Amino acid sequence: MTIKHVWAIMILALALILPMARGSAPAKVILEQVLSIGGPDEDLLFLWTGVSVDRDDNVFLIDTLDYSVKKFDSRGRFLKKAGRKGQGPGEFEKALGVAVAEEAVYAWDLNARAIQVYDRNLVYRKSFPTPGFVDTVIPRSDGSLAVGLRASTGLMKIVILSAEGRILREIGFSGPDAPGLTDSISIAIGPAGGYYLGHLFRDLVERRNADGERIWGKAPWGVKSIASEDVKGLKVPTESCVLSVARDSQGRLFVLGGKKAENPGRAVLVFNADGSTAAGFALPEPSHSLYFDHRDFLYVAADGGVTMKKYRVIFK
Amino acid sequence: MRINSVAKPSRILLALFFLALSAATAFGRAAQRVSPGPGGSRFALILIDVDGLACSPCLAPLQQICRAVPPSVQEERVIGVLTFRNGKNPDPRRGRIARTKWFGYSRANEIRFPVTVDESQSFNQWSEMGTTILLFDPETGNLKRLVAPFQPNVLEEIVRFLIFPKTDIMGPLS
Repeated sequence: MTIKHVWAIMILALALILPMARGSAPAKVILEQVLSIGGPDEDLLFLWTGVSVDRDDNVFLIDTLDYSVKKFDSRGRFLKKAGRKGQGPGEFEKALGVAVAEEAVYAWDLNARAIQVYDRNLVYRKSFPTPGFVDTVIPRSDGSLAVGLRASTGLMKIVILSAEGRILREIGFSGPDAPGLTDSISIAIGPAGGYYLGHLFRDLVERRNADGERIWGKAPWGVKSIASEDVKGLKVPTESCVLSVARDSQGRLFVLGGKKAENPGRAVLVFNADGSTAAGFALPEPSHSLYFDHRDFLYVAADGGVTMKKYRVIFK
Repeated sequence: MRINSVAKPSRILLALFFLALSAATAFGRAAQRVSPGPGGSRFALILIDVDGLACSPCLAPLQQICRAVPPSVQEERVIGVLTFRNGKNPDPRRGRIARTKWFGYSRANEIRFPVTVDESQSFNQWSEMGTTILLFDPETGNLKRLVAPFQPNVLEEIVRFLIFPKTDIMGPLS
């Protein structure tokens, strides 16, 4: 092979690679606000911790400071509130999350091993027990629920429950980066029935398949060390890397950065389903979570949790 | 210990004065009740870190106080001071956000005492230590600071201080 041939191959390779590289370059993301609920001068939201949207675009928000689930219409008008302080049916001690699936509204408490079920008019129907404290409930397309649990040992796992609360399957995590004793994870349903995991106290996001096996893992923020405290002989991390993960209908994973990110509560990294970086952007204000509805509108917190904002996400 | 013998007493008294004045303006009816009665003109300031409202263990001492102090005494002799941290970039909305959050929390928990917002952030260094109570007796000029966790006997003493004028729990400013 002559030098001419080598040059020709190199030029050809460059010609092939350059357009590909250009195609995978991170996109620019523009957020266009379409709705705002609550605010510093309104007595609607006090510290919302979870949001979910039904098929009619009604917005359900769970508020940890007044122990309630609130329903707003698609234009943000307050419709109804349910819940109060307590440990009984329809009561919360530390309201944490809400998820709507078909006619049911599921709500859960940080300190309860149970999920409360309301109808879409926020009439309390029942509760069912869970084999651990509930972190996340994600409705699946087949009507079942993927529930992220903190078991009594502190280990995270996902349990698939029927809509009535029957355990259909448990998914443990294996491998060196499996969520451990002091870990906590944010979960999103990934493509092909798998899962996206965001480790709150580790610089790690992962895609795992339906059996819990890892497909890829990424360190989004390049964190070198995380401060921790010694609690009864256990090293407990005190700085968060990831606050929340969410997935849009394209299968893209959105990761909201925690304290160790450059812009805590605002920095968002977007990964394609294959793990490549799709984009990065900053929210206008710090949020504790990300949520996408069925129309790919993004819901985030503002004003320290007294406001909920809905954005159209435009990739350019 | 007399208030005039502790470090920076004038600043503390001045801050208390302005907070009481602020509470009187914002919550006129309730603040006016801090007047001589069975417990004299004594009152308590509870410093509440608004960022701690999301944290159950941080809230436990506040809930203890609300259970221990009768609602009528809360209304008449207790003033909450909402504190918050502005961080690197001061945000004028933080005070309003603090008030809104407290409104939701206090209504759901049936908390009766009025509050004011520490816009000047004078009390941050104390509230960061945990739920803090300042007991103030204007007649003697005595001030006592108590920091959570509160043992049952301390809660009992706080109630007695607020209700009975002869109760003396004024040790040194802690």
